[in-house]
Amino acid sequence: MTVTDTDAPAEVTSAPTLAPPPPATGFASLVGSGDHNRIGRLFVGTSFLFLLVSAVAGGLLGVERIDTTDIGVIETDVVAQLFNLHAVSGVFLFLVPALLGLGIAVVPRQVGSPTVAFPRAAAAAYWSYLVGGGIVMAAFLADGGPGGGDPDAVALYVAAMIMVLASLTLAAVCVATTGLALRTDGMSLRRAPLFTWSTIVAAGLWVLTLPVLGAVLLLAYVDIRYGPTLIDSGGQLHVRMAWAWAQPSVYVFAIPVLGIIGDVVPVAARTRLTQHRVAMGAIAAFGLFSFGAWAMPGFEPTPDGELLLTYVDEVPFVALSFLVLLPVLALAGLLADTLRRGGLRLVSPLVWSVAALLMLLAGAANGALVSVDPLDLIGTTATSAQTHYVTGAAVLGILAGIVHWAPVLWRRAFPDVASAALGLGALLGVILLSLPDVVSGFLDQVVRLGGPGADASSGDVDAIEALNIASFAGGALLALVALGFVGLLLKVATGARDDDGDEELDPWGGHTLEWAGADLPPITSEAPVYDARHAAEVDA
Amino acid sequence: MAGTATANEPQLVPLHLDEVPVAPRRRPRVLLIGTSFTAAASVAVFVGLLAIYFSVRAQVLATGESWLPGGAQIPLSPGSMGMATLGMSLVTAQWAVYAGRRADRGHAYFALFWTILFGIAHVTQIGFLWTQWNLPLNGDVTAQAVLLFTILGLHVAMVAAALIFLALMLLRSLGGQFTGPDAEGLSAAVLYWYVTVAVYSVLWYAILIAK
Repeated sequence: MTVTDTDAPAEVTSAPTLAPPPPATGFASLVGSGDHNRIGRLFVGTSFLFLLVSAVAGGLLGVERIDTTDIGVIETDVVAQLFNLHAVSGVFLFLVPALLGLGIAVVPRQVGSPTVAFPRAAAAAYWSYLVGGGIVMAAFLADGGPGGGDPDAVALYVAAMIMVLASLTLAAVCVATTGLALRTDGMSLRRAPLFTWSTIVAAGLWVLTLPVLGAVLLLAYVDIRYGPTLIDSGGQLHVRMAWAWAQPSVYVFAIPVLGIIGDVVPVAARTRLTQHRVAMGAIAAFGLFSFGAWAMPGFEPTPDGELLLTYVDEVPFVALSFLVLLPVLALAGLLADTLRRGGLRLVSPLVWSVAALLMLLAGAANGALVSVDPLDLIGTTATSAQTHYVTGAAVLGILAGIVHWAPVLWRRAFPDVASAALGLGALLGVILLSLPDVVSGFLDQVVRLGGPGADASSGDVDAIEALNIASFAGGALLALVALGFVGLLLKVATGARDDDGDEELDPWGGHTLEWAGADLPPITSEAPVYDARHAAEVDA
Repeated sequence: MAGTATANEPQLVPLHLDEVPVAPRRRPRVLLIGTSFTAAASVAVFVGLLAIYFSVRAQVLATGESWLPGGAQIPLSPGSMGMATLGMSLVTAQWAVYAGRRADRGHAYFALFWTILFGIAHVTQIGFLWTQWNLPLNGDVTAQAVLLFTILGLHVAMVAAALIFLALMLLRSLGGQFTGPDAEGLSAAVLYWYVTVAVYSVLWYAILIAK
């Protein structure tokens, strides 16, 4: 029989304890961070750099349009490149990333989750977006982009755009999964805040739309590298991408804006939203009617510089153009009723939100007009006005969200009066940018991609040029507002915090969980913080 | 008499809710939902590519020419064997999930191993197909070559991504994760594998059979 001695030898010392690694600092903490708040802020901050690029490109195109008979300010062969730079920077490098950044930072807090779903994937999405966006800019500088003279730089542009789209799709997956899977106990989907709900709808549709554009670009990349057989590197590439920011697809980038407005207005009115579920239905319907990947035109041959809008005479296009108005009107009615019932506070997020809603309504109405065949507005500047109205509404909505959630994101509130003044300036800017183009569209001014030959304005040239000057002034005003907003944002992001570090800062009296702080109240409705505050007031 | 316990009836004990054991909170299906969105995005890419494929094909056929250029051919055997191989992998993939949910790790490993093997075999079959169809990507390049290589090449990349996902889940299962009630990771990887096979079945019929 064997006896096992279980006593520890006397000379054995205790194992050395491993100290936890020190927290990363500086650049390492930035690159390695999986904190959803930081990733969201990085997305938002970086996107503003690309907004400025888009504004400069748009400004150059605006100056060029003042004289409609000649291409004089910029060279003819860079017009298509500038068009593409303006659109791509504005939509895929500013608008979508900024909305995703807000979603990554705010949605987890709204649903009571400590983190975003797949935080490392969200971080990877940000860094891929940053690198991809940088390469897109470098490719343009190296004479790439649609219409570029260097085939290698064109191929580089296409590859970088695929990278950007893949990263945005990944971030959309993270946001949508957070809203669907990480809601806290008691928060059913029907009780989800409208911004969370709208990001679920939007991200779901982006996941189905961005990859289709990616497919076009993938095929273009292979064709450019080994062909070309299907496409050349000229304006053909731009017109095969343009469906993504034209009606009806353009609405898909404005879906979360409805959620932002839906969250801001009841808070400003100090009351509940009328018919929360109806508002959710309106947002879902808006998403359904805005899905436009079916309008992707494929690789049909087309003359250089001509927009490839093969779907505009078809029933779905006309039907969706009118149907998309209905949910916007429904939501506007609900919000107006909420403002009527509550006590109105003219706070700056409300100013931005109302401006965004008005411009979205104007855009949807303009889209319905454009789809009416006898008016013959397709291909005119009324179609580009449509894009400007909707993307302008989206920009206003994003800025409304940033102002509203700044205390959550940076623990510091925007100066209210300055922010409201910028909001009014931005509203005026979007109207000035878009409305003259609608009028000049009725005067038969066409969208130009290929130089003077494709720019024969058959209407009243003097009137058109006056309208183009007004439109340019609107764009310039918007650029000034954007610069002013970036200045305020920098002040907020880098300034001292307004709170003492322990308590949550809530200058608006928010209704949803992001304003609750560490102790979540019981969730019995879509406005749990409002409920808790109201109950406390009743008890008092 | 109602409300009065007799000697044969059990005594009713007042219920203290704070003493009742709390049911474990259901694990949110984060990975499964995220995988569903990713699979939807993957399908959207192929829908876009197929739309372009059919559009270009219709233009060529409208001119009275045949779709494939002279000298090119798409042999049936490699693509069909690829389909059959992926079909078999569906059985082994479901076997892995079935075993994983029952914490039968031995069978789960075995089934995952076979699924991965079938996937690798499929890739080699498609690689062989590319050597047979006489559609060069250098020299005399045609639109058909660009389309077919892009679409099937992207699917091979999708198979590779799905295989990596399956292999990761296999490794994590070996480490004791994702079995029993928490077999979500296995389910997610297998879901993506199903979608990969479904996409290939469409490509196989639309491109390789119907030509």
